[in-house]
Amino acid sequence: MSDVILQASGLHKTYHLGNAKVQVLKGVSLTVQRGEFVTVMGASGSGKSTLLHLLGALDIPDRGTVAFHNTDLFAGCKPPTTTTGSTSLYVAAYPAIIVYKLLRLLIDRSSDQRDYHRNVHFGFVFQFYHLLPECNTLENVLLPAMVCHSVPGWLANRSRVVARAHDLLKWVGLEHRLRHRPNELSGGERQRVAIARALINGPQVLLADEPTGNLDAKTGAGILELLHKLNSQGQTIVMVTHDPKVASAADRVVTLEDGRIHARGA
Amino acid sequence: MYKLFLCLRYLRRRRIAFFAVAAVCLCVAMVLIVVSVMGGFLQMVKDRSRGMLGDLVVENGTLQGFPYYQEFIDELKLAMPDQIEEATPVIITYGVLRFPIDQITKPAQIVGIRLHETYRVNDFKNGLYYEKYYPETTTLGPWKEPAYGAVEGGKIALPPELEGAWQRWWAQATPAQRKKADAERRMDYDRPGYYRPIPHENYLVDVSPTWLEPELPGIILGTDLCARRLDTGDYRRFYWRGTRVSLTFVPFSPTGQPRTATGMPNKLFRYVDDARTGIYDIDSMSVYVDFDMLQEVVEMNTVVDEDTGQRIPGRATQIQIKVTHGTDPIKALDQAQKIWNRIASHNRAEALRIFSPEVLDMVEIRTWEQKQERFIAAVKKEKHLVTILFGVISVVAVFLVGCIFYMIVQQKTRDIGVIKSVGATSRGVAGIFLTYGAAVGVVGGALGTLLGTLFVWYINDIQDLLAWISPQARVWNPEVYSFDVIPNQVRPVDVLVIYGIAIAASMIGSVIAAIRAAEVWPVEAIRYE
Repeated sequence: MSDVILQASGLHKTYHLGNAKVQVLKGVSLTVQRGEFVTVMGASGSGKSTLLHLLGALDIPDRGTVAFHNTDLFAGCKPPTTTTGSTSLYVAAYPAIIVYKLLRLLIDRSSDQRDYHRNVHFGFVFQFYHLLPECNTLENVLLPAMVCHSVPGWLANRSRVVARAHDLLKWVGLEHRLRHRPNELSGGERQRVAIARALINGPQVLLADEPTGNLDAKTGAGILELLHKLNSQGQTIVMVTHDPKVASAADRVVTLEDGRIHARGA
Repeated sequence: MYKLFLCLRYLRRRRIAFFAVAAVCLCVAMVLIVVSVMGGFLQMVKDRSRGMLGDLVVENGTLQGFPYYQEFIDELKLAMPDQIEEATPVIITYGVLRFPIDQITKPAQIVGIRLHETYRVNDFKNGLYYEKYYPETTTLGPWKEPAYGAVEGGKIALPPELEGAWQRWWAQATPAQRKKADAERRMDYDRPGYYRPIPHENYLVDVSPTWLEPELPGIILGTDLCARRLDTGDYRRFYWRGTRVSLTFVPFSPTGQPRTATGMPNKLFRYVDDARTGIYDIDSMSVYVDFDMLQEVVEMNTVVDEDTGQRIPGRATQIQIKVTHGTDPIKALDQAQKIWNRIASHNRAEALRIFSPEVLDMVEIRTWEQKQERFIAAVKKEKHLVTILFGVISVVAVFLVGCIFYMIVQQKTRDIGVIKSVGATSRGVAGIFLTYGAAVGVVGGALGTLLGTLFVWYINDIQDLLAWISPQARVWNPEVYSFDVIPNQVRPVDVLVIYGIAIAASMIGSVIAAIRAAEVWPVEAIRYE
């Protein structure tokens, strides 16, 4: 069995900002080995987050492929398009459009495979934590597990999943904050909850987008320590940062500049 | 699982959803009230129509009536003994009613009935007031005026016949009936109804209750002719039982000619009871007298012409027939029609010498439903129209749910991105909002059903309360709506249908928001804080 867990080849991505086109990625290729801690560095707007989103099947490239265990994540996918045309025509045809969209929603299964990978194989940690404000700490951590269970399945597995969530929250040091809502937690605590959420389904790759970017140095160091601990237990991690100090914590540093991989570090 | 979890969480935490719940609740309550009141109105029309008419009605739609009614009734009972429970002739004519005691004169529809046959044919007996508390004392035969006095050293009492009837009723009455009777007892003689005292200076001490002369035929008045409905739903009667009432009649010849040349006969009666059908038009207009007496007064009885020696058969304007339990009225109608056709053809030669051919030819036998068909159909249409109108108004709730959900999706775009980033499918995200819509329908529909049901149950009390605050607020005028109370029954099938539609409508309202949520591109949604 190959040790390559993720392999990106010739990734291109362009964003449309009004009439302007911004080409963010211009043929990026990257290989991530199992158990590796890779950091993608680059200035703001260099395309690091876009690359991370493509690696985690959260976005679709214009060109290029991402293989997870040699399986192309974007086989048969088309990048999203924006609707254009006459407004009055759009309004007149609105009911038909709604019915069409509803039917397409029910029939279209093209994104199911990517959704599944995001749920089971990838775990995301974001700079701004992105916890659901209506849910408490435990519920936020349980969310990905709820996504992969039907109601009967959840009822059958609930105790096992909740026990795992408790273990993860204990591991990140938040066992005393289970019933607190995100607005009752500090930034560092929120990011720990986000890490626990990303790990609840036992992902093969953890994708962290500037996990310390919104934290002070001491709290950020604590988060990095957690990631290190995880990596030492065999967790593959791809992290995006613009901070060389943070980047130096990784096994390998990849620098993105002008939409291309510029240099590779050890 | 996450769909159910998040929709319940949003339902509890998103206060804006309460507006959607409130909109659904109000619309469900509104439609339920309209459907229940209009449906109840329709049912009341049907019940009262049947209660007034019996199962089958024979008539020719004229004031001079039709002959051979008794032959028909006799033949009917003979030929269909297992299907016909009772049949009774009725004369309906018009005249002038006058209360000499207060010199009030009113127009009246005079109905001639055979009282005990009528009791068996329709629900007339259930609407009688005095007959209820003093059983078997109501008669259309000769009657004197009862007057209360004192017995056993000052105890107030009615004449023994009425007192005995009251005691018999009290002995078999249920606790609820006794409670109602207690509420209607008069202070002075401790019995329901209005009676006059004996005209004597010291009647409380030494004068026994008695019957006052002269003896006059009894008359039953429509309740609204002799009483006023109070806000409590009870009636305040204006006249003592036994009060004299005069009627002026208009006789019609066999050819339908009003006999005004000989003057209009006038006759005195005693008010023995009052009848309430619940239909205001009837209760404010109709008086009931003995059939045979009325037939004679309006010259519809069987007579022999003194000049020609020719027999002129008696006439009735209507025959009411009650079929036995389990008999199909339509089948009974077919047989009854054949019997009538036989009698009509057998007597045709005699009839044509006296009456116009139409008198016989226009005789029609119909079920109570066929007779009231036009009225019932009109009420049905009215019910459908009002239901559609309020249904259309309720579409507003669908749009409101749509707007509120769209706002929620706009506010929750980032959360939707997060949910998708952890693996939720677009279908699943749409499912959250469709389930959310259904939950709003379930909760709003349940609250609306409760509100609407309570409102319908207490609709008459609510109206009385409003009328007590301001008399102008009385919306249900019995003179306009025929019935003196607003229908207040809720049918379970209506509740189920409206509840189901509310849930479906809420889901439809949430469709656009659900599609919008499904289309959220997670990368765009979570890019910034």
